[in-house]
Amino acid sequence: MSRRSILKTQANVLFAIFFREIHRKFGDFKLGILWTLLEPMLMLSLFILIFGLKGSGAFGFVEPPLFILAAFLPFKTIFNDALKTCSKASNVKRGLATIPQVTLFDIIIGKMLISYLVGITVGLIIAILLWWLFDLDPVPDSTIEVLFTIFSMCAFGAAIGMGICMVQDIAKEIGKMFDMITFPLLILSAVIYPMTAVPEPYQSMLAWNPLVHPMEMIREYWFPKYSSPVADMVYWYSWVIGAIFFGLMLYRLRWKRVMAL
Amino acid sequence: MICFENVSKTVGSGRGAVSILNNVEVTFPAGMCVAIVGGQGSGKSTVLKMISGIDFPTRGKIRTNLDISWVASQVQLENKMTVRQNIRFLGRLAGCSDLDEFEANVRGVIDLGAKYYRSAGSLTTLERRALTVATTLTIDFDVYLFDAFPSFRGLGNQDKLEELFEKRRTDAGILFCGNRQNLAKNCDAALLLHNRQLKYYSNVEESLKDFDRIIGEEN
Repeated sequence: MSRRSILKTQANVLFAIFFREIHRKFGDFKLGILWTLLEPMLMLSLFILIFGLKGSGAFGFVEPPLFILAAFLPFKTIFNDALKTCSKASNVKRGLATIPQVTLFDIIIGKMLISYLVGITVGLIIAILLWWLFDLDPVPDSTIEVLFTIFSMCAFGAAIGMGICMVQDIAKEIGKMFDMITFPLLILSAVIYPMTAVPEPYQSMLAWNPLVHPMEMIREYWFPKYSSPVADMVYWYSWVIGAIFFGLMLYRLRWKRVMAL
Repeated sequence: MICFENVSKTVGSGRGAVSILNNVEVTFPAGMCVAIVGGQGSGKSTVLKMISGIDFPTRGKIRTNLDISWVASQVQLENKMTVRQNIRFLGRLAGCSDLDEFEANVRGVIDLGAKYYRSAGSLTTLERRALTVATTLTIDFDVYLFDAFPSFRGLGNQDKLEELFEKRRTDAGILFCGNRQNLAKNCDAALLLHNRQLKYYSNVEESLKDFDRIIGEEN
């Protein structure tokens, strides 16, 4: 039987992991792997409903449901998911411990791609629903820039998740700690409000949080009427590159030890 | 060729540390049926794991230009996927270019009937073993690894499995953890693990003689 080239095999390995993971998660549910999309869709719809009905998200430059979509999709559905699943990648690798063809790194990349692709698909479906049911215009002003910024958030989450995964053998508490700061992070990252609604001096203080910047960049790219007082692209991408570098470094130093657990 | 370059291996740490290999330099061909033999707890399966690529030398390198399989009997099937999905999963990992053809080949060796479309959890232990061995042997590797000499007795498709195994034994290579009996009957060459050194024997008789001498010493 003939074999494929290395690159094609790599793509195949990623697809195989993708397929296996959605089955592992939802394989024995009634609606099966449809839950891969349904779960984040329900969560996003709930946020839109709760915040949208309460009228929060009405900041003058866009309808509340779109504001919520542009905030929770990148932060909760994609960034947070990538961070969480990548930090647990070593558990997945343990199930495949006897198969050297799949490395821990393959699984981290696979998990990252799942977070991104599932998130974008869900965003697309919700956007169509908002347009169809409520006659809103969900198309971002600069679609490519929005997609890319969301991807950078996904990569940032995956890089931090990879770092956590690599130090969990020192103390399990590290992973738990990151679970705990998810909610405060949501408050501190300009997710449920735009930075224009934050007065000084808190505005400059919050601007130290790297996650504020992509959130604001996405709003600028998405809504023509929004202009952020703080968004700094160089600051954000420096953090992304730094996190990727740091995550890869920890991976290189520690992956054998993590897998030997 | 599989080449051990100055390989040392220690498992465990602190007081529990055990040295298995110490500066091993050995090169051996893999195009035949090779048994790894040694005393109880000498580290045969660790050596097999290192060759497979799921364990690593503490020092030194293992080099090879061959495409080496996973250890067939240790593959874990995912119970939340069907048998068919599990087979395709392994085919994808190995880079089979035509998954449908691959699937058909596996089914040609092992017939599971309707269970093929059911969860892998519905398989019995024997069926699982037969399936993982059949799937592994169907993929074109250069060397197939086994943690013991595979016995197909009691499996439904014994003849076909044995036929496939014999075919792979000639057109590729087999490497397995064996015992004295295997040495006498089943292999073409041997690797003897003794005193933290690996020695390759292209002549099985010789290895058998050395094996008996060493085990005699130990007793």
